[in-house]
Amino acid sequence: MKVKMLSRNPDNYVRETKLDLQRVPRNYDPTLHPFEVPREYVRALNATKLERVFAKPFLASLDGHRDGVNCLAKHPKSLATVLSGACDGEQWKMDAPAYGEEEEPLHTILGKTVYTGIDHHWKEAVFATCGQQVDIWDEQRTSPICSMTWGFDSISSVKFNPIETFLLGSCASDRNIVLYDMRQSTPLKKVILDMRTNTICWNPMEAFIFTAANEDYNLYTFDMCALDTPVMVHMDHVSAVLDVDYSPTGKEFVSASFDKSIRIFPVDKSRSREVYHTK
Amino acid sequence: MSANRAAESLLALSQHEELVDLPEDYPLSASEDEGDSDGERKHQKLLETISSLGGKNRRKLAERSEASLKVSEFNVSSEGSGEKLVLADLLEPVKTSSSLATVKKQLNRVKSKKTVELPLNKEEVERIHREVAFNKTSQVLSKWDPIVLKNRQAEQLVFPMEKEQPAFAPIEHVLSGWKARTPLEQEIFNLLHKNKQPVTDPLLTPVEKASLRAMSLEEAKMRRAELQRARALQSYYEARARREKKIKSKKYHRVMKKAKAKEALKEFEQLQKINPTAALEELEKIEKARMLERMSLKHQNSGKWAKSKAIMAKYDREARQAMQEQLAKNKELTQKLQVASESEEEEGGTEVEELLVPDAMHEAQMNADGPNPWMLRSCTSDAQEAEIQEDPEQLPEPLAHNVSESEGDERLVAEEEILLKEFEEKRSLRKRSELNQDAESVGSQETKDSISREVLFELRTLSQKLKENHQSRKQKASSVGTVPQVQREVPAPEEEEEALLLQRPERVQTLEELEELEKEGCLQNKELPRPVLEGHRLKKNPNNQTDSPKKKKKEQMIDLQNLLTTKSPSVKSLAVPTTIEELEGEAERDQKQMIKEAFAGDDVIRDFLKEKREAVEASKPQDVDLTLPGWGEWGGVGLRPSAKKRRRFLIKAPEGPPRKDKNLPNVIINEKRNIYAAAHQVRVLPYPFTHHRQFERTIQTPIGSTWNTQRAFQKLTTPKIVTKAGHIIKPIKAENVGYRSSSRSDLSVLQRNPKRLSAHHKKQLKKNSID
Repeated sequence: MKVKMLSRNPDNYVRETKLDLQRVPRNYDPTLHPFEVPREYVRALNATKLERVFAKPFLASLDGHRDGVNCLAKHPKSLATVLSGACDGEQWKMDAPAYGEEEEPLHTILGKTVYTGIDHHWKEAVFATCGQQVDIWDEQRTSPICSMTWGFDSISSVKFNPIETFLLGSCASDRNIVLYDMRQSTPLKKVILDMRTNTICWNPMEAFIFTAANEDYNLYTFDMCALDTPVMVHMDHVSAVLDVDYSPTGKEFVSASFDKSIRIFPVDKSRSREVYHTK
Repeated sequence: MSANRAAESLLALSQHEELVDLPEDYPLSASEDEGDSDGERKHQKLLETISSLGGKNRRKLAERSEASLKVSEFNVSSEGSGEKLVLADLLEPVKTSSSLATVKKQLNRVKSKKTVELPLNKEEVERIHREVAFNKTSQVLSKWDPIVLKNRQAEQLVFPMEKEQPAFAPIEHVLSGWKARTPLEQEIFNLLHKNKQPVTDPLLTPVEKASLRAMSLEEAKMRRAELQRARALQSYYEARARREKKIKSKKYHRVMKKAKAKEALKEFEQLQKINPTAALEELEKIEKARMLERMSLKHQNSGKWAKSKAIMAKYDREARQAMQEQLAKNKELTQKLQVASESEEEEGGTEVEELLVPDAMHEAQMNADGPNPWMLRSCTSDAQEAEIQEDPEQLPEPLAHNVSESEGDERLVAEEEILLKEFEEKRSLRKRSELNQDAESVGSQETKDSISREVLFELRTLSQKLKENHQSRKQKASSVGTVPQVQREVPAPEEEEEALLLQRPERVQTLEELEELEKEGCLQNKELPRPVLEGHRLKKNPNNQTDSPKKKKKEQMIDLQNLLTTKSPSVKSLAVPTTIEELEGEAERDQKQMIKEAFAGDDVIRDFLKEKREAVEASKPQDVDLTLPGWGEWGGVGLRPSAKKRRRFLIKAPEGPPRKDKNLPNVIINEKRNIYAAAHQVRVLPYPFTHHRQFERTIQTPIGSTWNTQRAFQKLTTPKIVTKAGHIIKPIKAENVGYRSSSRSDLSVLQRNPKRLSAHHKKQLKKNSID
């Protein structure tokens, strides 16, 4: 005779260890869980609100300077180190979030012209300055090993490409963005925009993409190989954009503007995802 | 006149060449005032000055001068200065002379060579340089396209992308910077030092090093081959031993053992001849073994097994044999070793051994069918026949006896015994039948009878068991358990039995059925012998056709019963739901009643209808009333424009399209665009979707854990980017993506041609300094 019995597989309800979550049998029948769209909407809204409520974007302020802080750089190999330079000629090294200490220069170079920008090579002991021309310096020498010009306007900033490290991008005061090749020691291409570009930043994950912070309140993302039109125009700032920097993942960048706000843009979106501002 | 003409020409000139500054303009005007002679000279002077100003005019002036005057041998006239002087013209007169042919050839060659083009403008050159450099660079960059595309389309990106490989350092380096601190570590280090184990450079111990030095390569190879061979041989031997050990045949083992003993003896003899001392030692060993054996009770008849065998020995031939064997062994082991030549002694020993076997065993042996039936039959063939007849007759008696006292635990034991006996019986029967095949002509009838009798008995026992089942009201399972046993017992009437067995589990349920079955069994008992005969041995016998219809009948009967049994549950299944339905209906009614009571006050349906009417009214296009009260008639409080006027100035709105919910009484469809909802709607189809339906479907499927399994929920809500806290994400590198990273440095080009660069640089510097 066959005796019918209730039999359950212990695997379905017994935990393997005490640390495991209790298995809760659930019925996913959609008729038992109606109104999925409205419920999900409410959930999403609540989640977003709570995220906003509990978000703490401000981590710390780094004190020490007695004058306006004019430039800032993060250490490429140390997460907690930030370098800053102030208008009174002081240069500080900050160990975020602790206070920093003043740094003494190791080496001083006196040039003939004014230097308006500087950037270090990503791999080698080489750095680039800009002013009336783009100079490439060896760290050991007192004179530049190579100079490149195109036009006669003063260049406000220069940036090395982090992936193809022989590429440089600079922006001049005659509304130009000029790209240089360090290997061939020649300029490559020039883009003329409507207004002056303050600075550019290369995408660290996509070798040919860079974003320019423009005076016309917008940021322009360009593909280096097709400079005719920007890939994306990022707008939301209400004043000149002064600086831009990419996140290491290459999916977002942050921009600082004269409207006293910082915005975070996704690379492929024209509107910002986040805005931070002081009073 | 001439002066006037000259002045005119001058004027024209001055008009023609505005840029030419004329300082003598003033004197020119003065010359007109003075005399002619003086004017002539002055004019000449003027012409000269003018000629000195412009080269063109001067040549023309020269043209004007007389040719005869200027021709001289020292001077080449510039006549025909507009034409170019061609070398060939010069050489024309010397055509005839051959001495100048080489010169002419050279000249021709020079002429055929094209002149070097002017170098391009510096800006042009730079532009070309830039273009070439840009093309090159974009080619270099194009290798990133697939990677960028892949990363953009990836479902999930995990940063940092490159796997952080643990820094690999050889153990020597690690150990060199490490010191034993804890007592345990120190102890271990001490041990290692004592054994001269290498600590810092753990490659080889000194012993190992020495051995390495001692052995050459060929030697090592030979040794290795030897070792390999030895290993292979060992493995073969092991395999063989395993196989031999698995052989179950006792005879084989016995023979093997004997062979081994013989071998050992032979060896011993040989040893005696060759090396007497070693043989003596061997002898001593054997003696010692014998002593040990004598001391032990190993092969005496005192063990548990031996005792049990002794009991069985009376009835069981094998047991007896085993006992004999054991005794023989004992004898063999305890016997004093003699020289091989005295083998007669051993034979005597065996005789003695036979004498030692108890008498009872001998008797038993005499009684039972001997180990050699041929011998027996040859002696008394008649007696054997009698035995065959006796055997089956003998057996039922104890059976019946057993059955009669089938109560209590004893019964089980008895059953087992019966089974055993039956088994034995059958085996012997089969044997005998085989033996008797030649003598079949004589005893065929008898054997048939005996077999039929046997089957009958078996069936009886079967029915008996069934009866027992009925009495003891055992569970079905147990009955099923016994049935296979029965089946084992009765291999002959398999076909019938199977049919029975298959049907039984279902039917042995009630008392009545059991009784019925019993009857059936009785019926079968009468009929079975023939089918058995048919099935078992005499299949060819054609006179059993009468049996088949009976079988069919039985089957039919079974079918009927089956039908009956199958019907009953269906009836039941019909009956149950009706009652449940009734109950449910009642519950529903109750619930409806309750709902009615709870919502007695509000009429939802009417409210809804009212709401719908309002919605319809609101959606109707409104008429535009343009009447101005008090225009062309009296106005004021309580006065209304006349109906005529109102009719005239009322603009009727055109009737809109029919409402979508016109024919749906229970629905209100709002056709207005909801601006609140519009804020959450997309204007353009998002990127990966190609059709709006796809997008709608993905939007409508919920992603929460309420509607999805845990796995699906996790899959649907995986973050697009995962980063590890505290890890630096470096810019992507060519070697990490699988490309060959450019080996040359970015600076290599700069440093390879410093000359050009320095020149360039100097120029730059100069320029800078100028600025």
